[in-house]
Amino acid sequence: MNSAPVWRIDPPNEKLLDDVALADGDPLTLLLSLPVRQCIEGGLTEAAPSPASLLSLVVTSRSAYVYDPGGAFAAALALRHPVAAARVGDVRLCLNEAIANGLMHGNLGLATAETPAEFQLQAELLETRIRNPDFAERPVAICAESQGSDVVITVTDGGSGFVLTQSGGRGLGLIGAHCDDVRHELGGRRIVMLFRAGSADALSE
Amino acid sequence: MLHQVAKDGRRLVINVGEQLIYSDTGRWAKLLQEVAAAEPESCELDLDGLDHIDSSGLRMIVLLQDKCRELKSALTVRNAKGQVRDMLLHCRLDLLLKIE
Repeated sequence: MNSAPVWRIDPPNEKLLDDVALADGDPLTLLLSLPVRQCIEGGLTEAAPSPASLLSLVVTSRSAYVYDPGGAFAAALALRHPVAAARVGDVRLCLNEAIANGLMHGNLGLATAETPAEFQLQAELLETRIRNPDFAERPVAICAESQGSDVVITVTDGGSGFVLTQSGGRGLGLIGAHCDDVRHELGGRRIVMLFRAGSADALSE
Repeated sequence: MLHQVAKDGRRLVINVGEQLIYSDTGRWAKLLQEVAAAEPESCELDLDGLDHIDSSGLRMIVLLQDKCRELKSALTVRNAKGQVRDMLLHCRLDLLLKIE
């Protein structure tokens, strides 16, 4: 579909990037292996969080759709923070929900499909937009920071934001049920999720 | 998502594995087309190999149910376990779907 993405990691590690270039499939697990603290795709440096974060990942919409940034980030964060390790199921679910909202609604401008016919149209539009650089190169930035003994994870998209309705969607409802606090910033382009130490993972793994 | 579709007479058996999330939208749309083309009397969704699902995946299962209704076919969801079963029950999809 497109040429292989180019990655920048911190701390720099040419050997790791060579291994990624030679590997097949989803590169994100390898790119987020210890001791990497930040991974940025291509030229998305403007979207990059502070490199002092516990862990951060910035990918294009194309990579957020083709790869599994939520699963890879949750697994990598579990190796770096005890709360993320104890609540890896909650973190993975909340990340998938936040990335899906940022990618599908924010970056790709797709509405929720309510019927099979709408879903077919949504899938066709998605395939078109994921090939269009104006949509496909918008960033999805994921960042985790320690806050005392807790973990705060943010997901920021490159869309035009949204107005939160009282009911929200099922995804936002699940995020609210599986983290300890959630809020929106940047007009809806960023979601901030708090995971407290001592709270139990709400999901079976 | 890994999936396999097998036809046994007028019964369609769909096995879904690994995870079912937002990034499976294109594959699920093709699967719905496959179901429509098969025109089954009954449809079984076997989730034995599925270990993670998000709200997009739940919506895809509901849309499969809607597609089966359009075809006057009965859908049964089987072998959900762990996080997948928790999510189906948490979102009360047991009220919408036949789950065994």
